[in-house]
Amino acid sequence: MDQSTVYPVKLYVYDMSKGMARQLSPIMLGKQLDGIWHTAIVVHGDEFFYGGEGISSCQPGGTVLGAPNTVVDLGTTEVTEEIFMDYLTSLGESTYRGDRYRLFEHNCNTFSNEVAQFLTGAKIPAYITDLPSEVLSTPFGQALRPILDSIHIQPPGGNHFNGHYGQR
Amino acid sequence: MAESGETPGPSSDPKIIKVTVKTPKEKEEFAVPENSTIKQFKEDISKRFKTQIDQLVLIFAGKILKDQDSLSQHAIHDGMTVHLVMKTQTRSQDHAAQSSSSSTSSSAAASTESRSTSTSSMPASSSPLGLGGLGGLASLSGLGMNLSNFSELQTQMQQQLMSNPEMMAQIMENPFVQNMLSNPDLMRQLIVANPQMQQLIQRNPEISHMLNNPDIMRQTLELARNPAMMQEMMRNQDRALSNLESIPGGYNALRRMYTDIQEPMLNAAQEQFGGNPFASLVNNLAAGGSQPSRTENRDPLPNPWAPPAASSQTSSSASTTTAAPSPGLGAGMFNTPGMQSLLQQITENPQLMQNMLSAPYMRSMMNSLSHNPDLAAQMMLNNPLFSGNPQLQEQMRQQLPVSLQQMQNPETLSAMSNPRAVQALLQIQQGLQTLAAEAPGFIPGFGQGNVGGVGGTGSTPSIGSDTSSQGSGETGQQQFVQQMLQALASPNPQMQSPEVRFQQQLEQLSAMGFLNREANLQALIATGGDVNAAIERLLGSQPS
Repeated sequence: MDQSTVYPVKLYVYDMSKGMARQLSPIMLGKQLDGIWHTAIVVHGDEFFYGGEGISSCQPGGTVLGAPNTVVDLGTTEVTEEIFMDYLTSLGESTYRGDRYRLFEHNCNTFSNEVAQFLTGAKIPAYITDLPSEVLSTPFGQALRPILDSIHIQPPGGNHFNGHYGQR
Repeated sequence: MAESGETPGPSSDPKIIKVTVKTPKEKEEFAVPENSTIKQFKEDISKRFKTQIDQLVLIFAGKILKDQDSLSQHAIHDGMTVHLVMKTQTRSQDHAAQSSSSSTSSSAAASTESRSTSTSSMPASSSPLGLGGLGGLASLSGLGMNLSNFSELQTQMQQQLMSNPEMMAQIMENPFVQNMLSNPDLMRQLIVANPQMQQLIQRNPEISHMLNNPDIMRQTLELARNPAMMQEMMRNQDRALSNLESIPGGYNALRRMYTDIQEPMLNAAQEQFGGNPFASLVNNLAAGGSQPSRTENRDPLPNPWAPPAASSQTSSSASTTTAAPSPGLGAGMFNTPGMQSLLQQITENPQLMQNMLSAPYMRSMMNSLSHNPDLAAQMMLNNPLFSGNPQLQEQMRQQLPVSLQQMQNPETLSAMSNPRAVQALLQIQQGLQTLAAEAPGFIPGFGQGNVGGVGGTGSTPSIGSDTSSQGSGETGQQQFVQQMLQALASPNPQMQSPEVRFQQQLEQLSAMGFLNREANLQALIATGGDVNAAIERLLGSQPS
């Protein structure tokens, strides 16, 4: 019998290109990409995402990207906020430090995927995690790869997550 | 019951499953009996991870695994991953956070929805700032709603971008955007690929010409990247345009220009961008089009560094971003009928000349012109001032390559942009004009002297022969005077001070014994630097 409280977990999906990708990707890449996806996990009333500066948190929809394009319901979790903060802190000290950010291999969506699995056991939709490989499979992506590799996406509006809201 | 497990346990269930325990920092595989309890599992884990059992929190499928549960109860089977968090101390704000989090999560959801509806209801018809061209490039911009309609989207994006200049700055600073902007081929592809752009190109072939010119594209991109440069150029253009307005008849020319050129483009562009991204194109036409039509600066030259007028500021802010595709477009727009009338007007506007010369893109345009002599030839020949005088046209055509080369000469350019030098030249020309008017007989064969000046120090045999053949007869002199007057009012790209230009020839003449420097100079001007012809003239007019 499950007596503990459950907390809803949502995935906020943003198209960073604001529709440009949908329009321009056939031209530029040769294949249709519906968006350049940035994702964040919203749980316990906060939005958490990973960027070039590490894990950040903010009010849901509080980055400069505004409101999300899509909200995916990932289910619920029993993980309390406290445990979640511990978890995020550990992550932020290890695999998800700011300098570990890689646009193609280890980006915001990687983070969201991992956190989603931690919280709910569910993965995030495949079209998001497949984006890097989709781009890299085009000649354009390959050509721009050196440039893109050096890019760190960090939507402004979040506060750097340092665990326990600074109490540490 | 066969027990093949490695871990000792009190369970009677045989099956051992492999479960991966994943912490934020590492993961380990555990082989445990299927029906082991969580408590037992935690014991194993605490040994492996060297943590106290109290600090272990196991999570699977979003559920916290309690000690008394069993693995199979949570459907933890072989090969699955369980998450582990090692707790630290509990915090007192936990309860407060939990209660507030539940309320904020519900309110957050509500506010998100309301925000999305309000944004989507934002009117898409308000005119954007012509960011269309540039907006297509900044693919990493992050404001606005995702709309399927391209133009609506552009509008929205522009609105948001303009309302948040920081975002714009950030976009421009984004190295991806900058790198993309610095690649002219890519830019060209992007621009051309836009179907509305293709329409525009069809209607105005000059655009495709501009697009195909890598120099112009590069300059455009430079401008797009450097907002300061863009502002500067916009200021120049605005000033030039306002100057153009102030001269008599200028306004009409502007209007004509607008209706001939800008309106069709505006209409074409409006379908796409909801605005006129080529607004500054018109400015460019005004400024760029007068390149072949040099004029004398009769008025004191304005201070090019004066702060721009308030009116031009508003228009410049509106058209700042439209400058991106436009600079250098002027080069391709010369041959339209509206341009020609404009050229006429421009020749009477000395201020415009100065402004234009100080515009940074002039150099690149001259570059492209010199590389493309056909275009330059066309440009010159279409000049209405020339159309009445085929002789002049001929000469211009011949002198074109030379004059273009000379315009490349940085000395020339610096002299041209030096207001004092220009003024000096003006004085000389004025003097000549006065002389011609007052005493036409005094300076025979003076016609076309300035056009000859186009050739500068280069040889101008045609002029020499021309003027020498016109040596006699008062009617001939009248012709000269008229032609000279025409030439004075006609384009004179070579504005370098004749003294400087003819330094060498002057020395030659003085060495030969022609000591009257003034007369020498005038003769040289008349013959365009041809020493022999100058000597002839000097000998003909005044015995030395």
